[in-house]
Amino acid sequence: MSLDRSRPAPAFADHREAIRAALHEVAERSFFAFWAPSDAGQFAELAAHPPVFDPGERPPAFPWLVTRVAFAGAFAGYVELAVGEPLAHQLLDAFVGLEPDAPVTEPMIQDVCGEFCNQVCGAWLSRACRDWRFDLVPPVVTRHAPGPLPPLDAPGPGEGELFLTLNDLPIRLRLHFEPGLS
Amino acid sequence: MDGSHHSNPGGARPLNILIVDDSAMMRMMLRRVAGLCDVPIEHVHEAANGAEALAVLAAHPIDALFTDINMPVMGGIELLREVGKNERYRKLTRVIISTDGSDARREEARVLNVRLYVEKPFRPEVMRDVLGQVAACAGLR
Repeated sequence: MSLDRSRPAPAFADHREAIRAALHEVAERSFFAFWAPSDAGQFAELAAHPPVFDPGERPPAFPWLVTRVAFAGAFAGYVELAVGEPLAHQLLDAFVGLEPDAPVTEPMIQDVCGEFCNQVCGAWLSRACRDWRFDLVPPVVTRHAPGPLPPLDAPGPGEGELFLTLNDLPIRLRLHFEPGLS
Repeated sequence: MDGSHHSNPGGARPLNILIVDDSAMMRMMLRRVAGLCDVPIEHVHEAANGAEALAVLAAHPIDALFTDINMPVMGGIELLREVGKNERYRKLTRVIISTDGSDARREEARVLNVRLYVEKPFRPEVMRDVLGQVAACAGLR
């Protein structure tokens, strides 16, 4: 990968709307998911108290899958997506059209989380930086125990977060830029 | 990795295609969409990277190659360069399916005789149109 370190790192604010648009586009086109705007407070609330789809049942807290796709080109960084396991299952089902009783394995779940993050990162870079070529590193997926996700450090100057819901389930995106040496 | 579809409504010689992507779920999705399209397909072969794809190409007659760009071991651009060096594959229809739609990548693909460039994310009907064009390129329609 080539990285021009003479270029200053971009600011998250300059890319907020572009990556939000990429996330919406990927959710709708590839995964047939309904998105809605959200925020950090609602994300924490939904993570601690998952929505109830079946009246009379209190759903257990779910495990999380955190996926990171690193990129490098004119500038470098990573896109990280955190989704709960129930949403990961919905994404898998929508993406490949599984039969109702088809077995679902951990590699399938991690694969679809990786593809989702890969598409968001690639779509954002392609739309926002059409003149520049970037290389994407294969996704890295980490499974977290059920319950609220550990809080992130406060975003630094070259990073920021977005929150929304897909199919009424919470999702968190973090975009991080490696610092340039301008 | 191999699989068959036997959809041949027009009676034309069915296509043999190779899908190259490091995501098994992406390959599964493309295989499923291909099976739903009104294009006769004999075999859908799969490979997880460029090196595996070269082995499949050497072992099977393939009409069309659908490849991602960013993959471990050997990426799609290197695969296309290797394919371009081999006279045996001169009639192979080459299609890129990637999230990378930059102008630089598209120009790189054009030089490597890529016939069609599909940007992810795409709606399933896009693949139907692409397969129709691939069949036409291969002289099957």
